[in-house]
Amino acid sequence: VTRGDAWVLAVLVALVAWVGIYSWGHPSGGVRQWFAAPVPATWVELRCGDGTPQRYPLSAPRTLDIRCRIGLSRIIIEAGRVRFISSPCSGQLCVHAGWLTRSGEMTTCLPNGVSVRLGGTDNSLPAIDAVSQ
Amino acid sequence: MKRARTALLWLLLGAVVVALALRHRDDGVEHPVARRQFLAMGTQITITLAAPESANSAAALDDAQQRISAFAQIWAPWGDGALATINQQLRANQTAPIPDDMLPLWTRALSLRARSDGAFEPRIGALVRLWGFDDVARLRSEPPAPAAVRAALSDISAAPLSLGPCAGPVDRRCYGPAPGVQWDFGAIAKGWIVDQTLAELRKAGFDNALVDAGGNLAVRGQHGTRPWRIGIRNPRGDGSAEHPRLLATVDAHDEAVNTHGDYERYFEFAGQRYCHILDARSGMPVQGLQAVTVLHPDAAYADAAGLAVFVAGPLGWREAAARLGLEQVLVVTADGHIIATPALMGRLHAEPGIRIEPMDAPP
Repeated sequence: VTRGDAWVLAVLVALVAWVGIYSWGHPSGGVRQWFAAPVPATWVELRCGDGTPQRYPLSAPRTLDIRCRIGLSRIIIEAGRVRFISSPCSGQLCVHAGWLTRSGEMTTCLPNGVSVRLGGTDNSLPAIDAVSQ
Repeated sequence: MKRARTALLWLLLGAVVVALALRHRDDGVEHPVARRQFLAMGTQITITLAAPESANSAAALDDAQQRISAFAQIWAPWGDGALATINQQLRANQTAPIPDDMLPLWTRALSLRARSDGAFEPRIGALVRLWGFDDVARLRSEPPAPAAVRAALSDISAAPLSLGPCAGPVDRRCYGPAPGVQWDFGAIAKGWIVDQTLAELRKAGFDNALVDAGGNLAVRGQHGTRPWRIGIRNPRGDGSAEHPRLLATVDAHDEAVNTHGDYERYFEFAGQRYCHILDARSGMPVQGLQAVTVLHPDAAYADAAGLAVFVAGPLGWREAAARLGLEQVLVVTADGHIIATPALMGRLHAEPGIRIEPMDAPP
């Protein structure tokens, strides 16, 4: 090993150390994510009023009926996304809200008190914390 | 040895590439949060603390929920709370004493009303009820009679604006008599309580929090090691590939992200959409814009000023935003153009298929 090789090796070690230290606390998540536990599957939470949310995976298609304040809301899970297909409200805003696809998205049928929220980490789109609407 | 040195140099290059790549990988980790979701103020409230669930976080969330529920009871225009009682007294042609703890929001609302030239109008309660936008479970199917709208408008314009001293020896503020006026602070109250809640959470030691009152939201600090990431709703988005539910995302830093849209509460009559945002000067639902989003450090200001920009309509929104000192504004016009001010343009991450136009200079 020549003196030049030793220099290159030293620079390399320093650089790797710098990358590790710099990115450990970096807002991107840094090298920590390499050691993090696997992220949970994407899921949907259904809730009536302030009650306990029920969580369902988005991996399998299904139809969910939830009875709340004024009647029955029907929600479907299909192809990793979810939407209201019927609700006993006059405005039908929850039905018009269409498909929710991204972790962090939420919609509510206020008259019936039914809320739907997506969570987990979507592989194709960055998760969001809330939607301004 | 020369070969070894070359290999080491390649390794070095690789390390640099990895370092750069790391900067863009931020979605593999779920940061712990403590979250509370409940219904209040006619909407879904969600409080998210960027902290693990613990006895402390549960106590802070309990406290926040109680405060918001109590606030909602006080400020509901209808029912049996404090504001509803004031409105009842006004309907009975009486003078209404205003409780001292309501004065800070009340006076803030009046000052924002003045600053917005009446585009934001808290004396609008009777008009909101006339249009049927006061109750999420009861929407009209047709507009009210024009004569009734005119009567409600003349009641507002004839009524006093400010509070005065109550009769008698007690030093209190009163309003009225003004039998046609019903106060409704709906266009500022959510922003106000969002700010108050964040301040209380900070006092309790939670510097990193998001309070979302039905899409009217603000953040403090960040979410774990990344900023809070907020989606902006596409007013005509249905989650399909052609019409994604979001227009864009933005990383929020100690600020409110407030959207007013024509899609939250509305009815359609004779092919025309009548949305819940009323122009208190014409008595009619605002036409011409689908949505207005503003970012501002003060959530109450963002709420009321954002409404004033929406009310200004397609021709006046630029001027209204400038007059109100709003630098970060995103507007969706009735024909679907999405326009952002220069200060916001660089912060937005448009969704696939969404084109955001930079704002021209004000006319």
